[in-house]
Amino acid sequence: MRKPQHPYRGKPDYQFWRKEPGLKNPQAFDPVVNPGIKISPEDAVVTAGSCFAQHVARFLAANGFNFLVTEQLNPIFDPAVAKTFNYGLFPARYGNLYTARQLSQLLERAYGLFEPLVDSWEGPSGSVVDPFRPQIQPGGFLCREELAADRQVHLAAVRRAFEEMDIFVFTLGLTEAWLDKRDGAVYPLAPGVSGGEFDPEIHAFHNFTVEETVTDMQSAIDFIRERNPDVRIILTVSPVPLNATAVDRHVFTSTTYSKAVLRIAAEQICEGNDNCEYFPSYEIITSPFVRGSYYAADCREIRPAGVSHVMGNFLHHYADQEAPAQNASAEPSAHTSATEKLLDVLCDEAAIDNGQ
Amino acid sequence: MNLVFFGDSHAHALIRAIARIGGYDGIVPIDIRRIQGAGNSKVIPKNLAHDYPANAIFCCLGGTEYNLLGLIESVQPFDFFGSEDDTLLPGRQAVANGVVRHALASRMRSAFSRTDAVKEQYDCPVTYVAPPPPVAQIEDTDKLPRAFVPHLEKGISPASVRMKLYNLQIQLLDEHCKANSMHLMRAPDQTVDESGYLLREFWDNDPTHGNYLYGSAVLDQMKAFQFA
Repeated sequence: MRKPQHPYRGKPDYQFWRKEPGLKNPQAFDPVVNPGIKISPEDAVVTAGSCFAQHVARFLAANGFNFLVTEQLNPIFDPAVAKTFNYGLFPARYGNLYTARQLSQLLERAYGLFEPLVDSWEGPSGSVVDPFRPQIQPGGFLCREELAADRQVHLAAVRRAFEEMDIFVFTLGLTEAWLDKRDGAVYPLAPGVSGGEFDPEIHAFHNFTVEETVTDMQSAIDFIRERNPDVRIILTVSPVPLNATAVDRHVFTSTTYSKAVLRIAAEQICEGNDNCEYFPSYEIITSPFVRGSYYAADCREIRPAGVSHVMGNFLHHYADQEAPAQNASAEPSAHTSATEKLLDVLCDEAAIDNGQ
Repeated sequence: MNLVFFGDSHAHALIRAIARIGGYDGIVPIDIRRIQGAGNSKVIPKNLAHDYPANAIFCCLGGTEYNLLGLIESVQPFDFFGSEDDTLLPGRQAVANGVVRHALASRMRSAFSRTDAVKEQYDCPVTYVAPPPPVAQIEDTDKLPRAFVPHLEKGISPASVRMKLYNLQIQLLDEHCKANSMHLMRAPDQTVDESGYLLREFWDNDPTHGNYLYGSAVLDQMKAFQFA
């Protein structure tokens, strides 16, 4: 007897909740379908975005990818010193780029197309802080001249990274941001949190919409492809919840709004651009299939096993590598070192507190 | 009055001064690495107070850290702001002061802990003796000790960079001394020019250590410092 036809008949298992292997084995959950990008060991990979992007960077570097680092400390200094000052954590020391607007403004600054009115903040003990990467230099800079000299090196490294990369992995992190009302300069942290001073006459809160995020991201992609037409782009959304919200509502409600905006924006951007794909790291960590097991005790940080799961899928689909032989960071016996590595992630946003 | 000086390589300028000039009764310079039974040059021997009784202790353990970072030109020549008023030499990579400070402090950690280990064994005042300042110019690198030769492909770093490194080391020494109730004795005035560089007559062919005349100036300074 002929079965009745309907639109779902014959569709692949991944389109059906009940067929998901993750129901029985959370580790088997793999939402990546038909990836169109392949990464070879020779491809120069640049990562940027929120704190979660640092996990991506670390895994790529540890698994044989050509993780492009264009801003390196002078080799006379020990690697431990370089690590302390966040060299090698990012391709260039741009710190966390939480919003698409930050990314587009970084590119404009790197090419001299945007010179913010304020180029330095006063830091603790008379030091000077870069408003656009306030935690990149522990202890701050000695003076504005030193910051200017460092920034010159930094922005040259940014240009090199974006012009030489073959693959760009960008992790959208937040929609909430603080900006200077006079010129629209967007900061990764509110003035006053890690330098500078908050002035309500100058500084304003902004919560980016889907439309704004799409416009900013598209502007960044167009800017990059004018200089590097063949770059392939992978977008992700950070699964890390907001540390704090500036909106008068619960931080988790703000988190769901923010992630929803970013997820829709990522979808629209990928639909509108060739060689631009969405990678579901957000879904892997937050999905019910993994039963919340990837969040650490603070319910915010991602446990090493979660990062391993995400990056295992990433490597499997984009590099034809099987899941990495559980990086030491995912082994329970290596918990201490893994936690240390986790804590090593530079998260500007974590500096926000209500001071009570 | 017994004044005891504990040092590593920098002790030898003082030892040579006593051998060649004499007249420093009551001052005993010791290369702490050569104390019998020390075994490991990184470990400070016990019983110093018993073996070397003193009314005042002077220490210059380590001391060459700034030269390790900056005497020989690096593959990527660098410069840094020692203070807000400094300028950078053109064509050199700018490195943040905080980075240099952190790197230098890491290298000095061993000297600090060894000095503290000496201090713990004495009840008398302890003074940290600054290492010799950088030399202004090295006219002929052929006369440098042979150990330098394989590393001289890029030559010697500019004097201004070496001086900034030295001044930073002195800052770190000063901070450590203040935090640990020690005095800091800077290089003797008569051994340096108006810009602070070590005068030519106070070093021989090794630009990282003073000669016996420098040692003699330090010995004089120790006597004067003790009674100041």
